[in-house]
Amino acid sequence: MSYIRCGKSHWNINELLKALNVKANYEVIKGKIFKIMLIWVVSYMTLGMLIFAVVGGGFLSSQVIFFTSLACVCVVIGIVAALTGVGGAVLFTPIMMAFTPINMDIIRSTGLAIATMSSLVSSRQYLGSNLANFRLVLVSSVPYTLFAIIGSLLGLRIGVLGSLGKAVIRFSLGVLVLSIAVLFMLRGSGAGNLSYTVKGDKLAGLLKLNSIYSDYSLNTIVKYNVGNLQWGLLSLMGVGLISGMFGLGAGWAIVPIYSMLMQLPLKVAAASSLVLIGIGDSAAMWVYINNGAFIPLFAVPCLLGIVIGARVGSRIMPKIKTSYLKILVVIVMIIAGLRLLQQSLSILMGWL
Amino acid sequence: MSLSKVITSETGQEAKMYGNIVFLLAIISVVILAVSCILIMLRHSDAAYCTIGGLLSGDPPSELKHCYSGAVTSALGTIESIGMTLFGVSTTIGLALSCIIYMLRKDLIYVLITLMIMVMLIVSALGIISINAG
Repeated sequence: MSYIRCGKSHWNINELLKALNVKANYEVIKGKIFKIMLIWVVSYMTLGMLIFAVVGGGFLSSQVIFFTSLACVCVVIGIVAALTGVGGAVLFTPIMMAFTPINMDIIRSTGLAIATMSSLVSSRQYLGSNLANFRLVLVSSVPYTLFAIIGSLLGLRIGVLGSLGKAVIRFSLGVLVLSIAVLFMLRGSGAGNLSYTVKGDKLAGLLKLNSIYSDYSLNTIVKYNVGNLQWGLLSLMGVGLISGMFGLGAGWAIVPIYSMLMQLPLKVAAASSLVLIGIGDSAAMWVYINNGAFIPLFAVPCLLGIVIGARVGSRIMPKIKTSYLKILVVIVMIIAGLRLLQQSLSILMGWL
Repeated sequence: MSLSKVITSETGQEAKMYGNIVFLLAIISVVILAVSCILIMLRHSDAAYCTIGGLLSGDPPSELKHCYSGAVTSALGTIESIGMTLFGVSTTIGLALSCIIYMLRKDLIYVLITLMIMVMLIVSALGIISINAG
């Protein structure tokens, strides 16, 4: 009988192959169960919608249709967001603000809730594998959280000014969304930074921010230093302000700050940014909650939709060509940005 | 040293605890919120209908508050509030536990940093600085 020696233990080849086969079968069965459950969920949602629309009548049917369609829209946003790497809230807030009549404070608070929820759900995985640098997240949270709170207060303050204030917010968001679309287009063509031998600054050393992570795709341990900490923290103040004011998750800005300015590996930058958003945006969200702008009946279908969509998106990611989707996202963002500008300019021009 | 050993030695207990606790609280809070929403839709469809109508006509949040009238609806509103509060304080609880671990390790810089963030979160949650959105 053949054996393989692995450390101090000996493995029977036949048993090992059997175990590997069982594992492979388990993965296939897991995939099939997931597909069946997905089909069930979609069919139940559709069936429920139809039954209530036909039989229910009255108030309940319209509610079910409203919540189901809202959840479906958010599932699509979640899938697209996961496939293209753009945050769910970055798509949700401009689309809702540009194409629905819903009050902008409610949309912004829900956008912040979506960003927070996505962060809280995925933090565990990134922190457990040391991909997210928790010490760096804590240090970055101080300016980011402070300015996210200030941003949300400013956003509400401007909103109180009436139609002019709302037009200012729509205009600024339109410009911002168009800038993000341009950034998103440029990011795709840029070459990744593969060298992390930057000399960390003194402050980063004092705060013990330099760390390591294991890159399983390369099967190596990557050691990295944090550079330009003070400039990074300064930039995060501006990002926090924008995030709180417009109700956007700020991954689109934090990742370039971490990876380009502070010279972190891209994977660490993305994971740390996700954890940071959870802390900063939950503080900003409280400002909206205290002003009654968080409406659970609106937020819950959106939260569930985005989370389900993100999970589905990450599952189907390896099987789908995302280049066309990225173009689609850029087009949607440009349309939403132009629509926001068009909505605001008529009021602003009249005021000028 | 193997990859897993390096990661285990480098990953702090505080980071793992923060990740686990915020995940758990976020899931619990969303379940509570979802249950309260379903109950409102099934038991008090008039309140839900009023909220949807208000949302679609662009009413400000202060107008939508009037939809939740009556004892039972306000009780369901309380369940919603519990869910919302739990969702909002999940990061604060996670940070508080991380702070305790830093205290035990006598890592004073990070005790101060986590306390600073917690103060900001608590100030924001208590609504000490607030704007009347009208």
